[in-house]
Amino acid sequence: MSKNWLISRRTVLRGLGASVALPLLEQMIPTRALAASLKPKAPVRMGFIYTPNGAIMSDWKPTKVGKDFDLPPTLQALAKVKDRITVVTGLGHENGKSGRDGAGDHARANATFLTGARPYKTAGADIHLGVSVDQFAAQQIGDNTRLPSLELTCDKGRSAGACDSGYSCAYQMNLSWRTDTTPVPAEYDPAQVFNRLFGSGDMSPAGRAARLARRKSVLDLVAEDAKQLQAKLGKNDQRKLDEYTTSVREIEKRIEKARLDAQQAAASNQKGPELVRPEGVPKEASAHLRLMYDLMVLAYQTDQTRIVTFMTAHDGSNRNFPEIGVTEGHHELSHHRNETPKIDALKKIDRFYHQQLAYFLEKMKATPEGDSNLLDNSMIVFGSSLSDANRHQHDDLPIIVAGRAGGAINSGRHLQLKSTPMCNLYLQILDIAGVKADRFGDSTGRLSLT
Amino acid sequence: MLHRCLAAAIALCAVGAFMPSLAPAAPAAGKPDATVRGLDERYESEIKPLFKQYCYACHGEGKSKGKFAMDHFEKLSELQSKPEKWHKALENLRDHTMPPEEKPQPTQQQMAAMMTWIADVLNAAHRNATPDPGRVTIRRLNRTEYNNTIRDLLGVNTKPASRFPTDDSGYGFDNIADVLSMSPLLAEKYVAAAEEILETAIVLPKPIEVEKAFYNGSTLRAKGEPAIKSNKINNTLIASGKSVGVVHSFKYTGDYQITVRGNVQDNGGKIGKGQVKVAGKELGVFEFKDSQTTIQKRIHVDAGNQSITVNFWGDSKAPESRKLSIRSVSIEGPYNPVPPPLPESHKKIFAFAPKSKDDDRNAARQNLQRFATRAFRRPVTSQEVDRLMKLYDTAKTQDVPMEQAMKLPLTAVLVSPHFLFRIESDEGADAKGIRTLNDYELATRLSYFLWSSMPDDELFKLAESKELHKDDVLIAQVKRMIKDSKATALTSNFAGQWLELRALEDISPDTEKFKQFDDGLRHSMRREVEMLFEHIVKEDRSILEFISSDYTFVNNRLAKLYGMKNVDSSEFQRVSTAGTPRGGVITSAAILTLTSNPTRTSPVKRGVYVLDQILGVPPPTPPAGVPPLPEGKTAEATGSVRQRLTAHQQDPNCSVCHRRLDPIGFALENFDAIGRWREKEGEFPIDASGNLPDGSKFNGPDGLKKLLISRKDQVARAIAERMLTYALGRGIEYYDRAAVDIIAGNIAKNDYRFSALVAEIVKSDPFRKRRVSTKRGES
Repeated sequence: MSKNWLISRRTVLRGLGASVALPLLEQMIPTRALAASLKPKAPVRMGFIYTPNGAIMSDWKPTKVGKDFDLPPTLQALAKVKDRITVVTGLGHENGKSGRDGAGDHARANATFLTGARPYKTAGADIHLGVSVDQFAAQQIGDNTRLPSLELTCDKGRSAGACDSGYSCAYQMNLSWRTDTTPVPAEYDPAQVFNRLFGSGDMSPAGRAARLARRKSVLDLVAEDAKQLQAKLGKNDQRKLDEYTTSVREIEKRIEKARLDAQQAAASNQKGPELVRPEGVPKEASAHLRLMYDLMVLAYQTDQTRIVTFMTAHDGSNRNFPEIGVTEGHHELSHHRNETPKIDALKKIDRFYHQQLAYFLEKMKATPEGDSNLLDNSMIVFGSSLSDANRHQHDDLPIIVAGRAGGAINSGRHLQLKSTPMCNLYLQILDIAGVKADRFGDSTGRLSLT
Repeated sequence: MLHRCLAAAIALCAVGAFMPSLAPAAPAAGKPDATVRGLDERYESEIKPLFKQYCYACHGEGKSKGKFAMDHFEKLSELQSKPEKWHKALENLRDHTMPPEEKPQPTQQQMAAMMTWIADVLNAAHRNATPDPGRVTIRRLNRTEYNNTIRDLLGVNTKPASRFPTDDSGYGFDNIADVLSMSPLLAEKYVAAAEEILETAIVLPKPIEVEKAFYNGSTLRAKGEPAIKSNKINNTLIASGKSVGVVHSFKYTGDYQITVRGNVQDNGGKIGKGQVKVAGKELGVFEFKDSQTTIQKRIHVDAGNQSITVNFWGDSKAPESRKLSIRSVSIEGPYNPVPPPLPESHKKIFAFAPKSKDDDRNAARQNLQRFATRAFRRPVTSQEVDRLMKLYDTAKTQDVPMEQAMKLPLTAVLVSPHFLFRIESDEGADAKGIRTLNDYELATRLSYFLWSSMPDDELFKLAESKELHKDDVLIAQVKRMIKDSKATALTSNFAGQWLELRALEDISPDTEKFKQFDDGLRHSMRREVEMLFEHIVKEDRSILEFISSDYTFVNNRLAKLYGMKNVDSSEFQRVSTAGTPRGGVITSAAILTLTSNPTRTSPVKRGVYVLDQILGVPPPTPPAGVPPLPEGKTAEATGSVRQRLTAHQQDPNCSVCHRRLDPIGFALENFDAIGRWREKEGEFPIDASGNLPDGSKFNGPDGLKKLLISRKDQVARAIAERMLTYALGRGIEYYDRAAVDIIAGNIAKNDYRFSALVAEIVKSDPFRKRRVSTKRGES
């Protein structure tokens, strides 16, 4: 057998001394040696990418349905991966609508996107939403990888003032929720993401092993602290302490995994692709977004996690984009009142976000995995939780599902639905990933993607 | 932000009791009950029929949707004994979420009547109720508090929390207990941060070894001229009257042995004298012979870069004829070294030194006990120390020094819930379930309120001696703390959020239109308001100076923006605002900019800012699902901002709210989107006059400020509520009203001084007590 055709399961990140695993795939094993039925299957990766403030639908929504769908101006950027995407129209979030809760559509848009749940209207006390689809999956299948899930954001968060119309900022700044009451914060700094994925500090096998042992003993002790404290606290206090205890347990598990990883790494001494640790947060939106997308690809490729959630900006974000000549804020523009200059600026922003997506998807496609590629083994949900942001519409959302999920998705189509809960899509995605659920959020059934 | 108000919204804006144009969110407390016409009588004649008509379909006559029936009381006192649901009902009416959109809607007057009546009933109730100090959930340190606490606990100023995820906020602040959550990501970061912090803080003992250094021709330099090297053996030659030297880095203070080898080169065989100096001190004057001479002597040298020089006295008459050839200068040491001073951070941990070689464990225990007490902000139990010592014992082996082994239990302290959360006990409540905080808890609340950090030694001492809770001691401490440099935390954290100054960082005015806007100007804008705030704090000025002050602080950038002359320096200076429209926060460039859109002003945003931040009456939330304005309103697309908004006001659905919001913003229209004064907006002259529906008229920024000052009690109350929210880390609830009444009243009695605001908050029940019973339905 040809030697250079075989690649090592371990990949050493040069310059760091850190090593990471590539998923065990047929590419590492001579195909002839295996019967087709015994071929290990690549894991299916899951991704959720959020863009704020809806889209100008006239430039987004294909007019033709099925395989023969067209790419309107905003979707033009995705031409190179057209056969790998599924454009889904007609999905919505009923719980994003005002119902009895009055104003606050941006907070609700953000909150419902991955949960399908109605946020309880409060500025602080009693925040209550629902578990998000990524965390729901992570809780069942996250154990397969060192990090159950990875949360990223290009939004620094609000630095002052209240958020949308009486909703706590927690609803508007987080997509992922671990429990009904606990949001999962996301990483904003690419360098920090890199460190989380590949480590920092003394990364020699001995150094890592010693550190992990030390951490374990510390966590054992503080878990005991928390346990003793628990009995003395009131209800809300206990909830907070539960968050603490769960977090500590979670990282204890990760430490154990990391310990095993470190042992394997110590046994290997292969050279692999060179990775460069990013330096802080770039000022330009495109550079920041692309770095995050790069890290997503890396995280999937090295199988550090199979679930990534990425918020490009929170709903209601008023970011402007000087690099594409848009100086007005996104949110202000989104209330365009049908004024042409504003709509034109919004279209530019929409195209911008889709261009960055194209960069990511093309990179995924260019990353081989076995005799396939990363994109074909993934299912990436990309979209906004509003369609027409001018009127705060929570239905007929602009949603793209990219990737083929290892063959489970018949991509290259425009799927036109009639008012279907977004959660029906999620239920199907969970199913493909092997996550057991009878229903999710306000789902009414499974959305077939084949 | 133009909203099309739905019919339901109109009622809210019209409700007299809640927004008589700009009045506080509730009738002024303390008003004699006489002003409240018989509540029972009103209920029967006026209110009950309205409830029946609009609410009973879901909340009465046997129906109790959301477990709320509005006819479920015999007497008013019954209603008053369960006020929570009624407060919620009031809120729902105010936010026009009830009655639901699809149900018949009351008229403005009917809505007003219902809301006023409910408010009156609840007000009457709260005057009679048992005071409830509320209950704060255990509070995780936010990023700022973590950084500051690490700074004060360990003297490490590396701001490790800057790598933590952003804290969520609620009620406009990022220190709200219920919203500060915990995640595996954060837990991971806490562990890593603790390790790094201790790595920086602790200096491991290192044996000081004697080292040798050697200099010769290639390294010795003749003063002021290049070294002259003899060809053969790399010697350095110096003429009479000249000198040669080298700068050596002495690692430690101690005694060093200095050796100089050399010989005199002369036509005859003569002797020459050489003076050797080390660190400016004379080592001695030595005789060099024409044969190889070695001189050697010890001298005490301080650590650092020090010079060693050899001056050759030789023959001053014929300097070139007699030279000194130096073969080498060598340094050996230190002997009897003085160990270098330990950094502050190290001393903060290792306050107790082992008394003997076998005393390591004892010292470790004492140090752990002391450290954990400061970190947990309360005395630790011996069991707690025992458990920490187990970690110490795990880490301490033969070849691991005590200092190194301590890192493990210290990491556990910094990751413990007792450090990361501020925990208050529930033990020892009175019969009504109310507990007064102990002195340690009080010290902690106080220091995180005023310093965003842990208590200092003085507060700890007063907690230990149980004196802090005494009013005079407490107030003296408040005064001391406000003067302390750590009180700048109040500026960056309280003012930064209350006045939304932090948001200035996220604002990006269109630099095509506003060419002079850059980060320097952005920073100057923010600094002006911060300095105004600091000045009011430090000089204990009236809080009304936030509205209107006859001075402000500018540097050359701001002075240029403001059109002020004679300020050339980039340093800030205090200037008079006489004859200018400046002074106070709402006419500062910072606030004017952050309430603008990137390309133009937004009178609506400015109006909202004044109502919310300054007057404490945030306008009702705009109705949901804002439909677009009907097309064809040409004034929308052309005309001045004011004209466009006014056209929008003519829509009766919008006017009720916007007639109150917009005039405030119009009064500030002379300021452009980065706060510059202007007489015209493009081709349109500015009209800065305004009148509110209650008939009050004002013109321009001065008029607006006068109007606000005339409502100074409302302004004071609004600030008090914001500051109380920040101090407590929870939202203000209906049961806090009694406390807010007292605070606001006493601020007025003390000439609105800043110190009175802080002192009254600190003395208030919500700050000093907590509810422990779950009677009120623990929220």
